[in-house]
Amino acid sequence: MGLLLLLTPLAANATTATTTISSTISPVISLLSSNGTVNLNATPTTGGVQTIASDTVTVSTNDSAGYTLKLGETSATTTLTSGGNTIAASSGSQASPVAETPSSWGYRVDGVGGFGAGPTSPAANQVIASTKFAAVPASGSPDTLVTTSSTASGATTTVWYGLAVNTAVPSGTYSNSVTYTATAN
Amino acid sequence: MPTLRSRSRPARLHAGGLALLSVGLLALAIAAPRHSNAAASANDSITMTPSSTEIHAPPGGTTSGSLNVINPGSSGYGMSLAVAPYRVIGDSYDPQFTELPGTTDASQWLHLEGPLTQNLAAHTLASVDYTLSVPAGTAPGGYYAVIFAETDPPAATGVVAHNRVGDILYITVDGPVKQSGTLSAPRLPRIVFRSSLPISVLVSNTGGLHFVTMADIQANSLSGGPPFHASLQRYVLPQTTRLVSTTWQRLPLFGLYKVYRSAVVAGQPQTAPTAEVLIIRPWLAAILGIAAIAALIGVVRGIRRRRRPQPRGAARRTP
Repeated sequence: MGLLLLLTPLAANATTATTTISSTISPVISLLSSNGTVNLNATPTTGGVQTIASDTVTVSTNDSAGYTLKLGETSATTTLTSGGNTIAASSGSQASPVAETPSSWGYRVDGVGGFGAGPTSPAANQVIASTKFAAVPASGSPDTLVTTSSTASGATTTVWYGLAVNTAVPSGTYSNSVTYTATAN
Repeated sequence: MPTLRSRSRPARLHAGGLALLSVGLLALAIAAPRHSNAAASANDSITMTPSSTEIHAPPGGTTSGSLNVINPGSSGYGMSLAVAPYRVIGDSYDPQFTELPGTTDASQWLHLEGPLTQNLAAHTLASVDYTLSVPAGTAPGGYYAVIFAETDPPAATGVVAHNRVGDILYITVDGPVKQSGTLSAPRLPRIVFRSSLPISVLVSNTGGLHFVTMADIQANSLSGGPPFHASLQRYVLPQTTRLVSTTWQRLPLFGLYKVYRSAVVAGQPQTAPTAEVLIIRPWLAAILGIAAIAALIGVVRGIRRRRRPQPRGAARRTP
């Protein structure tokens, strides 16, 4: 009997159990561009005019290593195209952007590569400014716009597109497709 | 038995991540019925989960996996799927989606089930299944590819934006493979005048398989200031070196710190030499410098006064 009394507390302890709660949170990445289509409408003059408009790209990820955002052409075509007419891509690159000349278009992101700090402002049919632009690279070699090293919730990047034309450019509705790519780091 | 699992970087889920997941879950909870025609959208938002996946199979083996593409936006759109190689350039790990000549293109081992293009209605999720078939005779080790999901907006005038997100596949072909790596620490400035300090380690993978390095960066004050600590986890691909960096924001006005850097590299803990850093703000350095110069001038003047010859009258008065 005494032996049973001694064992009673031990029996109570034996009912204690440990539960481990584990949770795997999947990495997620999300990309949104504000405009979908950036309109670069222009009414040319002999000397040339420039129109500048922006797109805002928003990335969110719970990956603790952050994300990389790239910009490239959707295809191998780098020109703005209207039937058989084209407007050439800027002769500049992200590392060495250049001011636009008539019949060219390009992009810029303030503070990235050789673009300079900006700030860039939207414009319509203004005199061609010294603001520097680069060609959107072909699909196989997109430019890196942003790389981060931590989670992001609604991180935005403003991408500016500029078009310079004069009256030598045939009228028409020109278009081009670009691709923003976001991947986890 | 081939298995597949989503990468789970252990640990700490940041508030931003929680918010993101909450939004994603909310979007899924209010999922609307699919529309037969995707409408043109002014702002096509696309979400993919997982954004990175670890997967493995033996040579000649097959395994399968899946991912989800979510349209959390308020209008539908066309969506297309594609696969591409994945590699990185430089220690900053700039991702590239093209094949490096002379290497194996693991994206060709992937087969996406179902249509490669489809309409994704607002607030809906598309589950994408895929199969990985590793060719027989493939050398064991790490191989990499990415599965992209991309919005496919209708043609329009102007610059039309496609939004693309990717699930990076870290593929392990089973078998004996060397796993090794090294840790080094870029030199830190001895004196820091700025309000923030980037601190980093370089992790090199000298083996044939990727690993997740866990880097630990600490700065402890020798003068009683607040400490700094950061833990970072990053993939390191074979035969590459990755810069794992953090930035110590809001440095104290003044302090002498010892910086400790270590990392688990290919499963082995490694430690870099300790560095000492003096932190001081420019204005504080200027004040201290002016004070030191003023003190020096005072000392020099005092010495000159003592050395100046005493007037004769004063000498006579001296007994």
